[in-house]
Amino acid sequence: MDASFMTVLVQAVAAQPEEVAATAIQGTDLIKAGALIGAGICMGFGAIGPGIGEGFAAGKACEAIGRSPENAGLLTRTMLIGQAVSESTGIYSLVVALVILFGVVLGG
Amino acid sequence: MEVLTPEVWVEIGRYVGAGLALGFGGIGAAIGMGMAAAAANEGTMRQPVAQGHLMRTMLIGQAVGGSPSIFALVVGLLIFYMPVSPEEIGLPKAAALAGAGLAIGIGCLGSGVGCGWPAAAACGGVARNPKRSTGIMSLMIIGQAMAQSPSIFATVISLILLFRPVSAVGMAGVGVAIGAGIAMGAGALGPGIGSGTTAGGALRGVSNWPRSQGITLRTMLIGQAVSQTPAIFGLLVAFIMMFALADLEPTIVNFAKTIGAGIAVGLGGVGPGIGSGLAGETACLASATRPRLDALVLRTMLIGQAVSQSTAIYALIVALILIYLV
Amino acid sequence: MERIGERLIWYFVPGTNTPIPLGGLNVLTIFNTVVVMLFLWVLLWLAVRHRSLVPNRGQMVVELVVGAFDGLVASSLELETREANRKFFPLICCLFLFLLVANFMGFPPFDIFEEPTADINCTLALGTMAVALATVCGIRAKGIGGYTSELMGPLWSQPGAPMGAQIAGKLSSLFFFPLNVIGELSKIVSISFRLFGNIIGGSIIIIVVSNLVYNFGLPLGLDFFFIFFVGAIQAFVFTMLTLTYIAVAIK
Repeated sequence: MDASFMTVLVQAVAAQPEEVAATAIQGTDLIKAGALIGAGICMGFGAIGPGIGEGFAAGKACEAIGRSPENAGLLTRTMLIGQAVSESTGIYSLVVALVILFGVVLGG
Repeated sequence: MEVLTPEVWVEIGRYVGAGLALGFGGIGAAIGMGMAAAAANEGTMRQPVAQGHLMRTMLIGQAVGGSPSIFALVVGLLIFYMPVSPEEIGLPKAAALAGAGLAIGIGCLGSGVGCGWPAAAACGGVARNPKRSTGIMSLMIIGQAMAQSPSIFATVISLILLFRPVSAVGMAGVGVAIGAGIAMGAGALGPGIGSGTTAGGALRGVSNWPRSQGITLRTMLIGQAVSQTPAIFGLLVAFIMMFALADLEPTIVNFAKTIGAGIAVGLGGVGPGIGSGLAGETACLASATRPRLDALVLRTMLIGQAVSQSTAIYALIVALILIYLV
Repeated sequence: MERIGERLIWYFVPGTNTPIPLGGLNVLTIFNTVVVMLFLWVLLWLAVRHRSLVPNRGQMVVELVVGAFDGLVASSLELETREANRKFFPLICCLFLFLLVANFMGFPPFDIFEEPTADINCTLALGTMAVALATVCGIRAKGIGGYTSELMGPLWSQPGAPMGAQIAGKLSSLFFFPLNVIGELSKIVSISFRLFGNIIGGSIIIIVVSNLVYNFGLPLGLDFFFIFFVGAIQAFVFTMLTLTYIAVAIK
């Protein structure tokens, strides 16, 4: 979403009669807004992959336990370790999103 | 600038919303119905004798599986024809119309696709064993009804967006409406597909091992219920935005933070929803094959799904930080 | 259509300008909860009034329900003795019957009857009860130490493993512990919002469609789908999830 479109949007809001007068948009506001949306996109898209991948692992573990229930403990542990590794990309997203968010909160 | 008066914005929102609702809402159910028809054709080719049973199963599966698209049709028409009172005309109302379209359209896409899996698996099962068509069909309808609950959540959010005046003003109102729409719509996408795959696995299991129907039904219901957790997070965030953010300052930062929260919790729910559904699918198959191991399989499924949903929980945390701390 | 907002948040007694007493306590929900309880009491009392070895019709239905739930609890918990399973049976059976009748409360066409489960406070209370009960049962079954080490993740205790693996296992709890704690808390949100969302969703869809078709014909069919079918499925799902939380915690 570029700055010119934002300006159009804000001016359209300001055109309403009983509207609170929109203050002029400053560069820092735009940067902050971009950072906040960026944090949301980062966490949102970052969560897709790990979620599906860990589901695969859990499904295979269920299948394997159905075949050989005597190894249930070993299989559960293997599943959890595999999921923890697959989770790491989700955690990277979380860390990046939190860095962005707290950068905005502390810096602003 | 003179062209873009508030009335024009409302009209734009109306067209965009109705288009999103009817366009996206139709995709899912069409795919689902296609899957059911393909399975029924394949079954008829293998077992021409069972054609009557197959036709009935397919039609009932398509009729029940089509209801998400009917929700989308009703809400889409409401968006298109709803009168907007003069004091409400403005950008927030336009955004509410578009957001309602986003929520219902994408939300019904997932459930529409999801309802196709159980219907297809039921057609396959009936082709193999036409005498058991009643039992298979009742399990199919229960699975489809459960797979539709994300689309019911999406319908609720879009109706509230339509009929309750947006309480936040200006840019913040736009952000709240679009953000709530994305949170609920995208949040319901994954769980809809996921609970469908779980129901499909249960139906395949039951049509091969009919004796374990009761145990498989239980595993399926629990698996589907857990895989819908991301949709519930989306519902929660949408509710918080619509009811708890009334006095938001109309600044661009608040616009960005509500949109960001919506994207985080909405898209963040897609993966965990599908993943938990895949785990539920194999768990249903396993407990249908070996009903005596039911408790063990159920436990493994729940642990796996819980870990798979931790990313959805991260997304929820990021969204709540965006809403409350920034 | 204005009723949509009313169904979600009540600051006033519906239909008046009188604020709800006791700081916004929802009297309608409490009234409907009491109605559900009275209904169940009277119904069950009537059914088992004349108990006999050869059951009459009411006793037969009650015996069917009780027998089905007895089997369900026993096969989910898989405890050794019948008495141990029986300890949880009254809770599970009551929870299901209460939720079933509560979800059906939207059917009588009077404004005063509403589903108590369409109030988030009711489902949140039930969900908190379910998760807290599961936690208490887990601590009782495994002791505080056993329960905490389970929260620490699968690598916390590895008897006989080399030193490096032990340390790595202990360190992994930094990752697993917050995850498990938040996961437990999110169970409360998910179990209560699932029931609430489905019930409120059904009632809102019924209100809107009834308005669109001027209350002719179609709402009755929707009533049967959303109130009876979805209501029964969701009551069962809530009960089964409570039972599964307990079963996972005590094993």
